[in-house]
Amino acid sequence: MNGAPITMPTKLGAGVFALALAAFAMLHLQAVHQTILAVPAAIGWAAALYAVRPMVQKEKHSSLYFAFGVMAFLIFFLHETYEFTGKVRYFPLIVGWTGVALSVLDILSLTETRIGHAIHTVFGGKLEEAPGEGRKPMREIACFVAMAMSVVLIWLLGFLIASPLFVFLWMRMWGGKTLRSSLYGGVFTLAFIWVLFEWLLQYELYRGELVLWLMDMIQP
Amino acid sequence: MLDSILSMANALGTASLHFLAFKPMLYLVAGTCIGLLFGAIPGLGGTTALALLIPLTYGMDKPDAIMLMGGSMAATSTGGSVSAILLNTPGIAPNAATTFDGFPLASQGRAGEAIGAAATASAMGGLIGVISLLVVIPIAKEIVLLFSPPEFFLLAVFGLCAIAVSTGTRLLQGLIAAIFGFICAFVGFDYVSGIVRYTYGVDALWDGIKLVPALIGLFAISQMIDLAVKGGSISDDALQVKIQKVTDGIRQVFRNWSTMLVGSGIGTFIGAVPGVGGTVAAFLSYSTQVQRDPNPDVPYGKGNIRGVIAPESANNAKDGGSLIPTLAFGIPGSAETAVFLGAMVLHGLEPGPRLLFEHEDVVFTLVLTLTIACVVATLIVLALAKPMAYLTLVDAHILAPTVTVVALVGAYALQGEFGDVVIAMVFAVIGYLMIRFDYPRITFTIALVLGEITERSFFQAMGISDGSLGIFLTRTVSLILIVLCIATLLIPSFRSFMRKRKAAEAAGGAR
Amino acid sequence: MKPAYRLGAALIAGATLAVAAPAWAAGFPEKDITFIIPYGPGGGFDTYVRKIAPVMQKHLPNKVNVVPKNIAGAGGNKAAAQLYRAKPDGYQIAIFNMPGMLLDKILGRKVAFDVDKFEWLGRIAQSKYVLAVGTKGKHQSVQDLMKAKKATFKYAITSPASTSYVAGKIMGDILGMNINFLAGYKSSAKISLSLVRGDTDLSLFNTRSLAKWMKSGELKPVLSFEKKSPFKGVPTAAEIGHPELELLTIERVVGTTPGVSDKIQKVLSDALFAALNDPEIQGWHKKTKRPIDPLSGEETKKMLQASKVFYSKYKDTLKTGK
Repeated sequence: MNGAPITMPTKLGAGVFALALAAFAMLHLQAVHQTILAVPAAIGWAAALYAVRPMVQKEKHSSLYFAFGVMAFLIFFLHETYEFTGKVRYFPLIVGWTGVALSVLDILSLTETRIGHAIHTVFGGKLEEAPGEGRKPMREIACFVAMAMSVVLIWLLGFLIASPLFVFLWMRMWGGKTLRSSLYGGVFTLAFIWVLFEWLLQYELYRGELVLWLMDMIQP
Repeated sequence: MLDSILSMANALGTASLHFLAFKPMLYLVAGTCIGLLFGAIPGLGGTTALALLIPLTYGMDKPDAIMLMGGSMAATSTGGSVSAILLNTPGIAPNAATTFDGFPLASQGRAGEAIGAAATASAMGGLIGVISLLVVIPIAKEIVLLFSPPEFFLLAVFGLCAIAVSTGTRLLQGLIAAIFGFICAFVGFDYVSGIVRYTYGVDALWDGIKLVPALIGLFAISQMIDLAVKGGSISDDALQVKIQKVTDGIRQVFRNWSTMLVGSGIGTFIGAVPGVGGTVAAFLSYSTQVQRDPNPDVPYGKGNIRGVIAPESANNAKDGGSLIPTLAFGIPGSAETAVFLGAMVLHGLEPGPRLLFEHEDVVFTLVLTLTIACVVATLIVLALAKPMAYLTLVDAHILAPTVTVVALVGAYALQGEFGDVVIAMVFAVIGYLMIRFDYPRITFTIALVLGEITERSFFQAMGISDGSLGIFLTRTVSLILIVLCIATLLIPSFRSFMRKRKAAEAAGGAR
Repeated sequence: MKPAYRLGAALIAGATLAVAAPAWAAGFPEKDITFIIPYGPGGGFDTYVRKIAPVMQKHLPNKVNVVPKNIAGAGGNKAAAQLYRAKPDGYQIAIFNMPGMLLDKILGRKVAFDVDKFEWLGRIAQSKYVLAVGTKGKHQSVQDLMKAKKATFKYAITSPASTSYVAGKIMGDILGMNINFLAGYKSSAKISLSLVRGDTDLSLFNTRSLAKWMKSGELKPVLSFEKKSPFKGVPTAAEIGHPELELLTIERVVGTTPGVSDKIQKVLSDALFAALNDPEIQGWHKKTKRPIDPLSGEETKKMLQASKVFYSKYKDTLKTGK
């Protein structure tokens, strides 16, 4: 139960965070909704990160950054919410501020301090090891890129061209499948989508911007 | 009373005559197959199936049309459970709760067993829903009138409490995920104020973040990202996939009959409340099951078969329940019944408060259709469960790209909007991050489903009471719901308190 | 059902040219026309379009289909925006809920389209309102309601951007009633239920949909906005000295993208008009009592102009409501 001692810089960082958050809230209540408010918010956020980081075990750093990302999003959400008035922002404000409070608890629960341990006891914190730990970040990024590619391909070429292409490329380039089985994969996907959606269900699937543009060029 | 029962029995008899002929039965089976297929493919669902079937029914007799459409209506959630279990992809939204334990079972090589249990629970749930419907017809009106905005608000709060508690050791992360669900629910047109929030000029967001593309991303595609990052296949236990028995799943349902009964009860009840829907029913049934079973042999979320039975019995029982408001007032209890009634209008039938008296034949044909279709759908799924389970052995680099593109087509097909494809992909990344950093997706989903009802019905209640919060305390149903909320929140700590005391006593006794 | 060339088009753009080229010679329309329903399946607008579309395609040249398509969202604005931005080739038409669409413009709200610029093809139907109360309520006649100067009445609406709100607000203004609007009732069925339960006090209905609830004795009409009251013993607006209420209507009109050529407009407009007068639609109208009140494109434009003038008078009333 004996956590690391709380150092002076940590106290300072926490103080700056609290002040910044208060300033953010006060200015919003005064109906000052400018982008300039991002400045105290960012300072407070960075100060908090600086304050907390030394108290978190190295293995949990990626979780810490994620938790801070969550908080940044919540503060952004609050900033947007203050643009509205009355009933429109009533619930979003409750939800946003509750979120910030929970997010602070979440961050503290990652620290090796007495507070961190206390939060664990009350809420039942994270499992000792998140299932994601120990994954290869490069592979994850590659996968995100592949996924984003699929959307871009569909947007450009439409489902009927992009889908088989995507399946083929993935199987061939990432999965290390043979040319023949990758081709089969692509053709099978196309057949499935075409037969079910276009032929049986009479859907007109998205044609793709590039294809539509080309068709416009060809047609009179 | 007796009179009405006699006339009901009479109408039921007349209606059942349709089912003896070959052609109507063919329509029913065809409808069921369409329902299964539409249920299994994410993005398509009961409403899409019905909308596409409407033109086909123009030339048909009314009973035939009802059997075709009713069959597909009853089968969708059974079909949806298959993809929920095999691919962690709820085929339709009400199957979302099935993924929590269904998919872990599939990973352990027990997909066939899980599908067996899901299909059987679906059939039993469907039957219980229809039976309850027949029982409550005389008091249908009263049941529907019990629910006003204050009750809707508290029901939503109850749902949120129940789910929060069922996340167990990850309560804090669960609550943060719920906050995110709420934030997503705020996006789009706000009925209370008539303005549009947080859309940043994106048309696809006008009507809010639609549940189906969000679920497709959050469950299906994110799982495929996870699979691709890890490599291998959904199940690494090829031997288990081969030796498992579908009949074990069937047996499990009857061994856990109380789970199934409670689930069906919740499903019927929630179905009867117009505007809440099967997704909530399934979630509530799941969380109730988690709470009823404090010391499970297998933890929930890690492949407990009861976590499949509970939501699946509920989301099928709701079909029967959603006919209660239809019979009482001629208003639809679900999106599917809305389209169905729309189709009936084209056949010259006028849904209204007197539907039951003026069109008994239609009502009972529908009731019988739902009953038979449940059983037919289950038989078909049971027959196919084993071969479908082999899907869990397919290599990640074949499964991930194919499932991703089909899921994206599904997201697009829902409303023919490219924006939904982007939404699905954004949620895929969010979903993957949630898997990676261990934030439960269950609370996120339920908050997304309930967020809008919570906010809207709160302001409606305030309008009715002229701004007094007392409205939540002065109505019987509201009070019951408040008690339920408090009980739900307190039960876990009460249990752990009792456990500690027992342990202390035992220790004391030993001394 | 759909021309095969569409499928080919996606795969090989060249093939499109070969198959579609002969069709160009035959004039409009050479492919299916999409009839947009700005709401989900199952409602009144949906029913009208699904009934009329197959009849309308009979009256169009070139044997094309008229395909109904639901584009629900943002109270109909999403479909309107989509139609507004479409290619002005006449292949997309939509049914509109009329005072509803005008409203954003009159109140100066920002929307993604200019309602005045749509090309109007005709009117399908007009419904008039009837004011109704729950039979368990305190006030059971329009005189009671108008006498209760101090009372505030609760009135359920879909949203402050909906037609039900506009009609209720204007009526309250004309009859001098204090009305408190409760937003968030997503369908007319839910509005009716709130009245049956007694959560709210009064509501406007279209004449036909109220009839369903009267039979079971849960709701009761107290004032008809028609010239001749369809309900026995229920006064008309003119009879209580407010004939201007007759101008409150729900119009189901059909429009297409701004800039569609007059020639194409005429083809569509004629087909719609012929469909509405077709024995099949007229028979349906008689059987189901759903109103069918055909107007030509020209007359629809005039009607909408008049209705704009009417609603503009209440601009300030409607604005303070928020």
